[in-house]
Amino acid sequence: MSKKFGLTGLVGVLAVLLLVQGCAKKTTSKTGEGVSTAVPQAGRGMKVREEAGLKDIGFDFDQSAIRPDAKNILKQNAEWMVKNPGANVLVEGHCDDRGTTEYNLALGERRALSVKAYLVTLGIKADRIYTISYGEELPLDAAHSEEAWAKNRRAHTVVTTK
Amino acid sequence: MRELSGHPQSFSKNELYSSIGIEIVRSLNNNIVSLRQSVLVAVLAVLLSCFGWQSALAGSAFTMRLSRTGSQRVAIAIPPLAFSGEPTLRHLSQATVDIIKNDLTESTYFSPLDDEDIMRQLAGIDREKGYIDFPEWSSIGAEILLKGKVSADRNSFSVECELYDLYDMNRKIVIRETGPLNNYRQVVHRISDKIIWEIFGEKGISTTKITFISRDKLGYKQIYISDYDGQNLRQITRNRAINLFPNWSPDAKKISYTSFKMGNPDLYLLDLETGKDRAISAESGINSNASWSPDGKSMVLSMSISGNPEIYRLDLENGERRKLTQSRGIDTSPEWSPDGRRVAFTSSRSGTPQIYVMDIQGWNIKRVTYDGSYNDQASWSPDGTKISYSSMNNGHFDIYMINLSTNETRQLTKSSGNDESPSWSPDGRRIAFSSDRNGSYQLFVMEADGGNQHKIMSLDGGGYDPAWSPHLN
Repeated sequence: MSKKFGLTGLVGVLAVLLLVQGCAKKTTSKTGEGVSTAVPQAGRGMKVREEAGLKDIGFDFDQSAIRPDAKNILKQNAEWMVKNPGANVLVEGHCDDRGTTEYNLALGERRALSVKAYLVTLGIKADRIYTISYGEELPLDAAHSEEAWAKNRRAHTVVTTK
Repeated sequence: MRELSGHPQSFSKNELYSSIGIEIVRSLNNNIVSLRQSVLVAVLAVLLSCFGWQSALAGSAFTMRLSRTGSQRVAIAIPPLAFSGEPTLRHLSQATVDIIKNDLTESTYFSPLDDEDIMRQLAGIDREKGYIDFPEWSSIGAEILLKGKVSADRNSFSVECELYDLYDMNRKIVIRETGPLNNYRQVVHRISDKIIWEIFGEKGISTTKITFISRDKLGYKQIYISDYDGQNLRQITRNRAINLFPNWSPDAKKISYTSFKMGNPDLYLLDLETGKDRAISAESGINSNASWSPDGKSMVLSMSISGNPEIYRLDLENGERRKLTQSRGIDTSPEWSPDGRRVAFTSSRSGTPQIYVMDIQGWNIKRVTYDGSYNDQASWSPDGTKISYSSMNNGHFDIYMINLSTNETRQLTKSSGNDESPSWSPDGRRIAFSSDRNGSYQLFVMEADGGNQHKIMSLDGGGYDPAWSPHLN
């Protein structure tokens, strides 16, 4: 009798522990994701060029998490980088103009690093990826509308030329 | 004891001594107290009066030091100033009157009389009579009278004036300032500050400056400096890049700023006297939002070198850097407190941007703002008791103030647009900010309680992110 209880008790405790563990893993901060594993790499003095094979991705308001629709685009960007092993890229993080200049500079940085981290998980070497945040300073569309804002919340990737 | 239009009582020395004398005589007559006791009382009264007993006996030739009660202003009459010197510069006499009137109004201490015709008449009558008819000046509502003259030639500019207390006509103060003609406004601002000092014993802000961002003709954000009244505009960065977050060193001789001119947001230091410009933090990622310690030896800034924007402390002498925050959120907009012991900053560690305060070691982090879901751009009042900041409500920003001991928040702006980037004047009586209430972002100034919000500049390139200078020595 006591043996059975002991075993059940142990299994119960284990189950609870696993549940709690699982819950903790599922918890995300309100900003949608935790700190990126990527660190910035500045491309001072570099020249850059546009590349049709590297496409922009968008972000949700105040978020730097990579959306499901963005993952496919980044996979394609990664494929381009694999096909062009000599090329390095600069990922630019941008924001819409709601919010302060200060905070948006930081949010843009988060977005650039978020992209970098994802590319690294896809197998791209980190030292091929430079990052920069432009915050809200370089909008694609200066209008104050949801469409314009959505366009401006982006990560734009260009090729660096040495 | 007379009262001056709502101000607390103030006395002249003669009145005080005579009233003490009367008391001594009275008590002697009553035989109630001994001679020794009454002498003691007299000594005590004189000592009390010397140590700031609600009256104006310490310091200056002026016996009147008016304490401020609410928003009551002292009425000052400034009739036209006489002029001598180069005839083509005669207009500087009126310009001087205008600058002094504006400075004294902006100081919030004074209300200059604005009926120029009457004042011109009374000044003319005084000239004819050969003496100042004080009762006439009092009768038009003046409490203080300023008379004087401006001298200007090709090289130099000077102002000499007399301040008269219309309640004690034997008292007058002479104020003199001189300087080069090409900077005559600064000479006049010094006169205004001297007037404020002589009457109120307070340091004015008439000679202070504001640094801020405006777009140049190509649309790039550049750094500018102007006098606090919006005049004497000077562009101090000229590059084809984005320049942000200008801030003053405590000695007002240097400006720190973040620039993309080398292809990354790096932190620069510009020496205003020598023109020397050098990068002081150029790590990967963001190097931004720098704020100086009061002793000028260190800075706090936001850096993302670790992969997440955190607050760092930078020793300017040995270049040592120390990380102060470690959070999953964005940590930015640090501001060193005026007492040198704390740093206010913005963090999204609780989910959305809020204002926090920590000590300069990075310990004792305390959240300050709980109202509103987006609070940023903290600015300390010079006495360190309050923080003003921007708060987003219904999609637009307003400027708020929080009292750090009572936690009371107060909304200072309620315009239809965005009011952002508050910066306190060094006397704590004014706040500069940027507002797009009229369309484009321009620089505004308001009193520290939110009163009298007015634009100080209208620039094609707009006005953003003002930082009010310290007192200039």
